[in-house]
Amino acid sequence: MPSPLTDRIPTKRIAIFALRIASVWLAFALAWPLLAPMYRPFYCAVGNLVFDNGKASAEFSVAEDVKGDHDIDIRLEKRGSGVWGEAGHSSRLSGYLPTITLITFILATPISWERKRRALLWGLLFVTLYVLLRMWIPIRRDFSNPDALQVYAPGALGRQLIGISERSLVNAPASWFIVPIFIWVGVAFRRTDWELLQDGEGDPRG
Amino acid sequence: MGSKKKKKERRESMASSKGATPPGAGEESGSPASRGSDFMAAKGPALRFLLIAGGFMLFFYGFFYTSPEDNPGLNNAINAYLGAYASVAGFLLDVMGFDIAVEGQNIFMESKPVKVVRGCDAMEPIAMFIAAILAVNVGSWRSKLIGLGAGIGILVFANLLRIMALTYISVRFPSFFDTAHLSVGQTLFILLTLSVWFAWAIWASKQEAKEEAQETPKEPPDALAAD
Repeated sequence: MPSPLTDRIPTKRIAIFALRIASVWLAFALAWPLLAPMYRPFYCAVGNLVFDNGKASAEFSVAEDVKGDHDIDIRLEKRGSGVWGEAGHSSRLSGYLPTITLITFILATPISWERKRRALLWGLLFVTLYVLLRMWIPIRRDFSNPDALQVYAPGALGRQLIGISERSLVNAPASWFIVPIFIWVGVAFRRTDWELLQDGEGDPRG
Repeated sequence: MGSKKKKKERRESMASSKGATPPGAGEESGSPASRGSDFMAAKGPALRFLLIAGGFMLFFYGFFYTSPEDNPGLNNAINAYLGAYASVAGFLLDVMGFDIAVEGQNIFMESKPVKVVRGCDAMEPIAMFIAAILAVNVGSWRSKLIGLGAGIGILVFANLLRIMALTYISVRFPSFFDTAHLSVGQTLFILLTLSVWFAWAIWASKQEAKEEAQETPKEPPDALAAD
């Protein structure tokens, strides 16, 4: 006999939604070895398009010897001075995981394919901006450190902001989940979806 | 009472937006102003949610992720909290018959150390849960408090189980640790957080509807007969 509490909560509906997300996400996560040879060059191309210019330039290339999650080499160059440095990077942690998280949540949402297509279009744009931010923060930090590679001289507040941004948006273990979830809410939800979730009365075709 | 009235109006406007379009309505649906108001009508609640929850998360990140050197007091408090997780997880594993010792944030299982570090505290998902409860325009403050209490309790308990499982995996199946830690554990925990939030939100909105139904005075049957 259901309790009055569980009677009011559609636990089955929520469990199905969570299971759907888990299975789609798992499929994407397991597909990484197959997709990596295509994703890594794409990741480098986007990185080079945005960051390989100006006085502080960062050139992305696929690492010749991929070790664990370190699959991208970044050559940081202070142009005109001959000073350069190298940094290791992970395209999977930095770009692939946030992107598949967003795609998974949109695909698992019970809305029409037309709405999913539109949500994916906008969502991928926003998640790419987020991935670019995750690429930019460590680059900015390296060009701000007081050494031969220094190009920018941020004040104490600027340094603190870079530190907080790096710890929260790049290093924090759940950030590649949380930001895509916010993007998902923004691009996939409409007013009437709330009722759909509650009792199935909403119109997913809307 | 004011907020209840607003919520009732909101529900009524939602109901009318789902119903049949009255004659003449939507004649100017092609105009930019109309498109703008349509967009706000459809996306308003989601944008409001994003503004409040996003603002809360920015505040959380700015505070929680200050460097240990800049905020040693916070760092000590977090380390004590992580030490408490290690102690409780160690105690439970010990009760279950494993060879356990705990020292600060370190759990020694069969003499192999596992350190409970920042990130193992599940503070981000818990902060997201708090932000989502505060941001959504559903439920009274009483039901929000009930949701926060019950939800945070469930998430802390689930995180304790996660730490125990990861300790076991790191000792018995070390090659699976990274996958279990970064991929499986994170995914399941975020899904649990979302599920608890969905469950609370649906419960709270039904509670709210029930309370409103009880408050609305019923019209006497003969009032209808008089019409």
